[in-house]
Amino acid sequence: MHNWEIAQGNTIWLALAGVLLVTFIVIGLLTKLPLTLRRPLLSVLVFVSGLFYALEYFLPTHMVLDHGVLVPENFLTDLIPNIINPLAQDLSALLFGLGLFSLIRMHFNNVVRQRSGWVNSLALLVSTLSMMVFGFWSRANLHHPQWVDQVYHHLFDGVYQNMDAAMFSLIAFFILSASYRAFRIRSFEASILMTSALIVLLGLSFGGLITDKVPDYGLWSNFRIETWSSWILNIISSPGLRAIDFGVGLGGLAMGLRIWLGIEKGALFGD
Amino acid sequence: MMNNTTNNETPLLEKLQKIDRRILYLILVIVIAIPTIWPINIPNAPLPMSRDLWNTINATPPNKIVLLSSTWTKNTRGENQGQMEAILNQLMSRHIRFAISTFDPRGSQVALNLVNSVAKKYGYVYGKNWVDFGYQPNGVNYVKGISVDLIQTVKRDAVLKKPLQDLPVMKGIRNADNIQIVVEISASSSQYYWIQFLKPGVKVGFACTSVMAPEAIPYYTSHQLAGILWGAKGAYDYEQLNVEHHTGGWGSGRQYMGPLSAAFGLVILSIFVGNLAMFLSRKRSRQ
Amino acid sequence: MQHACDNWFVAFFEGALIMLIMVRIIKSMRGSIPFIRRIPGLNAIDEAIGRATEMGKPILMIPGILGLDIVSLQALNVFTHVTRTAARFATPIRMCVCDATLYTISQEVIQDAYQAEGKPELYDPDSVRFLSDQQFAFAASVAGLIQREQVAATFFLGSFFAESLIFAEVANSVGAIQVAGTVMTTQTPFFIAACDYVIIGDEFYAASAYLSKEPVATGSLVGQDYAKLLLTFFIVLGSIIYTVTGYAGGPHVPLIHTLFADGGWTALLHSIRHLF
Repeated sequence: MHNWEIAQGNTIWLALAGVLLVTFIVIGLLTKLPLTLRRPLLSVLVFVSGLFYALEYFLPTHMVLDHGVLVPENFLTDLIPNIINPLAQDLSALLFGLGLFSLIRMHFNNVVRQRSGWVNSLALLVSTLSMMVFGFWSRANLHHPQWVDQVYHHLFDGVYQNMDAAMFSLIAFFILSASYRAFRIRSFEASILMTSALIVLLGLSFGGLITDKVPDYGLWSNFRIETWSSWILNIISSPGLRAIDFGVGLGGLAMGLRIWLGIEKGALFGD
Repeated sequence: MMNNTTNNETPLLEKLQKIDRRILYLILVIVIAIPTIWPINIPNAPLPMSRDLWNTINATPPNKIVLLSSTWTKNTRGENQGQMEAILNQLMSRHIRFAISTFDPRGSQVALNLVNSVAKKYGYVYGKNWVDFGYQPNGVNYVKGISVDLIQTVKRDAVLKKPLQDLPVMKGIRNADNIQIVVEISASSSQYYWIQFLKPGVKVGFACTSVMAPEAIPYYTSHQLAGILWGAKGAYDYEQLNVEHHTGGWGSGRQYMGPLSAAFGLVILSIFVGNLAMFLSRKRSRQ
Repeated sequence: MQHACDNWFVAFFEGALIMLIMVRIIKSMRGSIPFIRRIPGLNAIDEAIGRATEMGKPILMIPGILGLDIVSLQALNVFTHVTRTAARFATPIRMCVCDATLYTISQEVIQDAYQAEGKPELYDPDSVRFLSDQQFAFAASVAGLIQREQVAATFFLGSFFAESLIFAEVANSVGAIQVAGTVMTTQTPFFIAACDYVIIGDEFYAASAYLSKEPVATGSLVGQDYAKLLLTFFIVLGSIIYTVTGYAGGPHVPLIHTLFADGGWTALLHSIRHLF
């Protein structure tokens, strides 16, 4: 299968404008459709899309050599990276624009009307704008001054990445306060839970210090903290996780099936 | 007298049951800061899952390579960097050929920088001893592809942009049968690409952040994963195995184990204090 | 996605599971509606909304941090119920989303919920907010919103990752009553530690059936239980086969295999002696 080639020069702008126009026309027509027609149309679209994946799943998909080129045996497999994924990305980009518009509109209003915390909204607007300007300038335009790259680097690696890591590290604090509050022996089950948690915690940290002198071979190894910890994880916790995963998988399968066949009721699907 | 005692001690017991979270956070900062500034070495016993991974990589025969799929970025360097560094030390000291690739576009440069820094120490030469397959955006086709024909799937390396078959490191390597083990070093659930789509029989290892490890254990007990490195503890385990077998030295795994153990100790202590206060308070109220 | 041809047994097995679920759905559609046990987390929804109404503070809802998928759609099903109840008492709501695709759909669903309750004038377009599509930027925004608005009740339903504890602990610090449910097994313990009510594993998918008592959903739920029985049967069968025959070529030879082999008993006694 061939990959789509990226159009160059003016063609790309024409293509983009054409795609946008067609998209808006299709969306406009869909919104004008009466509800009685819209629902069956959407059901058919959902069914066809679901059918694609069902067929993709059941048709053979090994990779085979065809005239020295490695291709999937199933023609649908190649459509996923070449057509389905790009389409999904385009749709996401379009909808991301809507999300961004909503975010900016709300915070712009906060600033203009000077609602409480409007300074935070201003900070958000300035950061969003600066990341967008320097990001596009640095990436899209090859002929740009060196300082643009430096500013972008400072914003992304210096500020954003570190703030991201800082938020991640906050979890350590929350784990401490949550465990202090939650692990109280109020029942027999809670005491089992706490004992297991302590053994696993010790096994993953300084537990070795406590049972360091116990030999790590033969039956003696059963008296080491890390052996208990591994036993709890592999023999007790793992089957439980597996059982939950089975249940979640079946729940997902059932709901997917209901949506695919158009028999689901509730949000978005009508009552 | 009894009443007086109760009145004096109850507030303390109550306070110990409801310590302000800000005080807890402050204690945590201090407890982590001390072993970070003045490092302490905690004795360690490697977990069986770390040992299994070490043994599988160590048993790589000369006609096979090891594939490291490095899907992590700077955010999780505290855990993933130590793991990857320890594995690289073992690979290079044992003169094992290896390849790297990534499922994350931001992970490519991070992995390349780390391998280059370790390679300098061992005199490992790019193209001869190791190779970079680069960023693989289509994970499913990549994994399925290398199961059949690695050269056709990857085609060119990511650094020199040369056809793979022209690189000495790829001599005798055609498909997944020539891979001893694929190790997914990751902060996400990217191990599923290998578990689901790699040719059956090829071993898969997983080096992950602590929070992801419990999810992976069912696959270890079912032998779908040959071994797991559990966060910073996994890195420490691997470093210890390297030191024991003279295949590498200490790194960030041991360095981070001090603060990590101190934090775990504080968690255990806070749970103990909370429970003790609750127990005493109940006893007193019964009296 | 694993393909059928990689392992046809899996494909046939999945076909059998689908059949079981479909048969029960059809039976339920024909009038045989089954009983569903009480799920405390879902019962607590009304309690949480009631508390927010009394306090005059908003309710916060988050449908996970992934995009549009069956998990987030299920979360939206529950949030429709929450919004309709909140609309009856004119309790303000806040819904924060981390994905642009989900944002547009959420807006529509929430607006529809207000209309269905006959109170479209209460719908505030700013109540559904797209904050960021980056995990920790989103977490920071949500934590800020919880603190600023001092929300009285929170509903975290969907796919969550490392940010789960940030949400739950910050909401706990403002005294919010919390209901959480996720299909991510790694995050369930965090929610259990920090939230008041937690919906575990496939209870999450039972939510819409439980709340609506709608025949298709309830039938499907019972179908899932039949499918679980089939899975259990195969697990027991597999365990017996493994115990008797051993793991072919693997490192773990079961005891029974050792004992039936030539010199098995001697080998076993020798290995016990060797242990010491």
